Amino acid sequence: MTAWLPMLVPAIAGIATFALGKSRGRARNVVNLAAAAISIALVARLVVHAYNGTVISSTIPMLPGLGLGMSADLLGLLFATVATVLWGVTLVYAIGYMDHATDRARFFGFFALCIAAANGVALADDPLSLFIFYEILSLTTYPLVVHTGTPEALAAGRKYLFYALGGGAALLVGVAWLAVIAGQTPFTPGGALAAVSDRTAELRVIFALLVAGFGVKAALMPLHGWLPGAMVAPAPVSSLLHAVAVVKAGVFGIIRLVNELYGPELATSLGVATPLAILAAVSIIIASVIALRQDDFKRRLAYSTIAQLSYITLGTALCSPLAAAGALAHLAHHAVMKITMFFTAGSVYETLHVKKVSQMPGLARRMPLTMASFAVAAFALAGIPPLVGFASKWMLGVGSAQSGSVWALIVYVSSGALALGYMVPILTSALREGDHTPARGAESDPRMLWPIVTVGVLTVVLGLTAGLPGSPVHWAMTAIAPSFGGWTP
Amino acid sequence: MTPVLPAGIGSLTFSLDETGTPFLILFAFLWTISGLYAFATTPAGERARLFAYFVPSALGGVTVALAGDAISFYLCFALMAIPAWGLITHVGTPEARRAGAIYLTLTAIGEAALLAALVIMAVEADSLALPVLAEAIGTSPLRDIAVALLLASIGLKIGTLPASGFLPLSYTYTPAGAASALAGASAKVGALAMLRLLPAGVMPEEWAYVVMALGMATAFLAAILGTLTTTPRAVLGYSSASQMGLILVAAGVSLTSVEAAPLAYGAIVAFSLHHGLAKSALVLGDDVVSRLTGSARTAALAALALPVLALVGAPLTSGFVAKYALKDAVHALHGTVPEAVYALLPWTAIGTAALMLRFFALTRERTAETRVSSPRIPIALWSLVLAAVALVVWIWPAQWNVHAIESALSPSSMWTALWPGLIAIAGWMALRYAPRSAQRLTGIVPPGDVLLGLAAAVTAADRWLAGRSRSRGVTARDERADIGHSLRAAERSAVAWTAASTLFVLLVLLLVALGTR
Repeated sequence: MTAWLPMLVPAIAGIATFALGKSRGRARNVVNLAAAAISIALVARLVVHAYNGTVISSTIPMLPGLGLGMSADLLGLLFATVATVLWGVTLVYAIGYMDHATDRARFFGFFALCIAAANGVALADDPLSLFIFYEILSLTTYPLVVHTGTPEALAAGRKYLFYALGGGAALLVGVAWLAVIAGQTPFTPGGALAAVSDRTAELRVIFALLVAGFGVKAALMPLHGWLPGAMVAPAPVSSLLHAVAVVKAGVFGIIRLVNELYGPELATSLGVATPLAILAAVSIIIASVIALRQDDFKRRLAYSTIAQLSYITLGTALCSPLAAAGALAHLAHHAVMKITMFFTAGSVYETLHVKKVSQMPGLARRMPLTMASFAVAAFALAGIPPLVGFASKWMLGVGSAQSGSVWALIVYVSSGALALGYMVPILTSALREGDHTPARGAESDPRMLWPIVTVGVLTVVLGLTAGLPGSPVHWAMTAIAPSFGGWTP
Repeated sequence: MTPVLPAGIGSLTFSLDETGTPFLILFAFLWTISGLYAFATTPAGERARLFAYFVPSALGGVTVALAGDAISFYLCFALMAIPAWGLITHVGTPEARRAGAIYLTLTAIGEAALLAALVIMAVEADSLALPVLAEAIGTSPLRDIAVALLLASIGLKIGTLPASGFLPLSYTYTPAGAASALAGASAKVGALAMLRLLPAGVMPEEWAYVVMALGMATAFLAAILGTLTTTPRAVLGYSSASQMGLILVAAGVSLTSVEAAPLAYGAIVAFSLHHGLAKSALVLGDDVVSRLTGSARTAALAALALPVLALVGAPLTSGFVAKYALKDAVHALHGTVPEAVYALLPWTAIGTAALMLRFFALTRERTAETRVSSPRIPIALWSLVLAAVALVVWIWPAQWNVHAIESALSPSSMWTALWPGLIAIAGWMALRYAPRSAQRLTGIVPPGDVLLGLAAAVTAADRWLAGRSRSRGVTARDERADIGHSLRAAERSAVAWTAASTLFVLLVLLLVALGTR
């Protein structure tokens, strides 16, 4: 039952938040923060177990022959850890950000449910269980996207729902078809479909269906259209979408699919990995180029997210151990970098109503700590050592070269240069002299400021400690190794 | 596999070796003097803003000589190059900003090429240690692509054609102290990269010939562009590009011949020391002259002659030694191209001499600016650099200066060193009697040459595309007028169709297929 708790605790917190209603704000904050703390402790316990080699799992029978299974393996726990820890940070930030907003009960309730669903996706033991939580995640995110209720938000929400349900349908067909030909197939490092590997045509179509399903949340071009639109949502939601849970559920699905459902070997022999890699490479370059000239701050970050998610997809699709590990590590690393950026975007909007890069002159003077954290995250994203983004980019690059795909390496380094191109102008704009008059004391609500500084510091610390045991890099390599047979990191 | 894993800060290696020592001394000396100079000459209110960029840049610029593995090398390289953008744009004028934007773009491309090369080399060597990298890539099937990436990255750093405008752009608008560091130390990191990363004696001759030819072409063309440019600092930038072209010739030699490689390496080190100090002395000297009046000014102009003569390669100067070492290296190769290069080498000195005459003339014309700060500290710092120019190459213990000293006093080598300068002076005199139209040619090349044109072309293409998409009725609300906009328009229509229709058409087909199984 322990494997279910990281999903159940946030779910209970969500339901409790609804039960507490609109007025009891203090109790609501206590419940949510306590739930986050308990979840972090639970996940930490599971991580210790998994590192010691015991994978805790349990299955609840649903239908005859069909069970709903959860399994706390290292791969899933990495995603669960990212979601849970950043949930805690985002909660503090959101309490500050939503101080004057309406419908806070609805907001925090669905927020907790989202995290529950994300943890469900992370720890789900088989395709069907994963699908169920993936759908719950889609549905619980919708009220958050449309939270402000403006026509723009409603339009973005419709778009999101349309994409999410479309993807979900593709996923359902894929999962069901797979169940028809292979029965229940728990995720197994290295692949779970050895028994039916001769049914190549069907497996290829199922792979395409599953990629289409996960690709929507992973914002794989051309399925990315919902993500830049969804940036109308409040900043904590953007952080949730872009960094913590939603898009990561998509790429995580692809990681499970390639490494533990099909397995790198089968994916390569079926010839499905290369097209996926090419699609991801194209997404990286196009999204980076589009990001270059977006004046809207959040929109620029959104295109950056699309490119960075495809880093993960490309690394996974290369079917080379170090690239796959780099992809998994990047899932965590990108989360930390991008949450810093969206926190910053929300903070400058909430404090000074700055929405565009061109409105930023003077910001560096007005909000020095905020912008310094942003700068660190921006350079990390461009892959400057020794920050966190460099470690995963290096792994992805070395993995590409090891698998003989020098073209993928060139895509990675070009995208790094482009990232410098779309991040540095934000910093130069903020550093210019401008009309945001410096105020005394706090630069923004401390409940927003300190979460930003925390995640900003984390991008440095995780980069400096990337070589140590227990770092996301090390963790990812340990989690990926079984999928590649004799590979020892 | 373990050696190529990404490293945290704990596993970065720094060590001092024979190759790194001269560079460490050069970089540490120049960044320190330049830093003090910048501190003394920058108004107190602007210091924080300048040093926020100067300090990280200096840190990277000095420690790069100590970097012992691929990741620490890349780290130092990036740490030096990226903040330097803030030094270039410090004055905040539109020209400086444009120079900064071009600098940053080219730097980002150079960094990307370097990173790609390092990754390939690390994989092939299964190690991160720099000495192992260069050796392993020589026998790898990916050798050509790795060397091409390295050459691209180094070429951008040292302003090789067609990026000859890179160095003038990076010094022209930069405050004098910082410019002296960029001029003296920054481009020499490219020279260090040649020694650290390029494999010795493994490339086909054609590669070496192309590289040597490119180096010679840069040496000549940058000299011509520099003679026609506008400000003393820009002239110095082109002179650097021209001199770094000569260093590239040495790198070309080392690529193809194992026997000549030690000679070529000696030449690269000699040139780096000589040029780094002399160029720094010129940048500072130009600034010192502009702070003085009367007899002090005359004295300073006279003192400028020392680095000027060194750059031209007059006997008994550092430039003489460096050029001697370079000739030695080229002479070790046989074939049409190396022999042609050997024959042409002395002629490059004409270009250098012309550049120096132009620089001298422009500096002398500069009107003295009245400044509050006393020039005593700048003069003292400048004198230190001048002393280093006069001494360092002669006291440096190395094979190449023993050779050079022995031959320096022979009449034939004296003559070899002198005639290009005399030709340049004769040409300069003749120009006085030239028609006005020819005289007006000086000053037609803006610092940055083709790069400015390229940047303008990109902006124009941007505008044109944006204008086109607007005339189609697409409103540009959030986006700036740009290429991205039309890309987005194309993307939007692609998305609308693909995402919606494909998904559902596929689904229907599949459900039918499933049902009829």
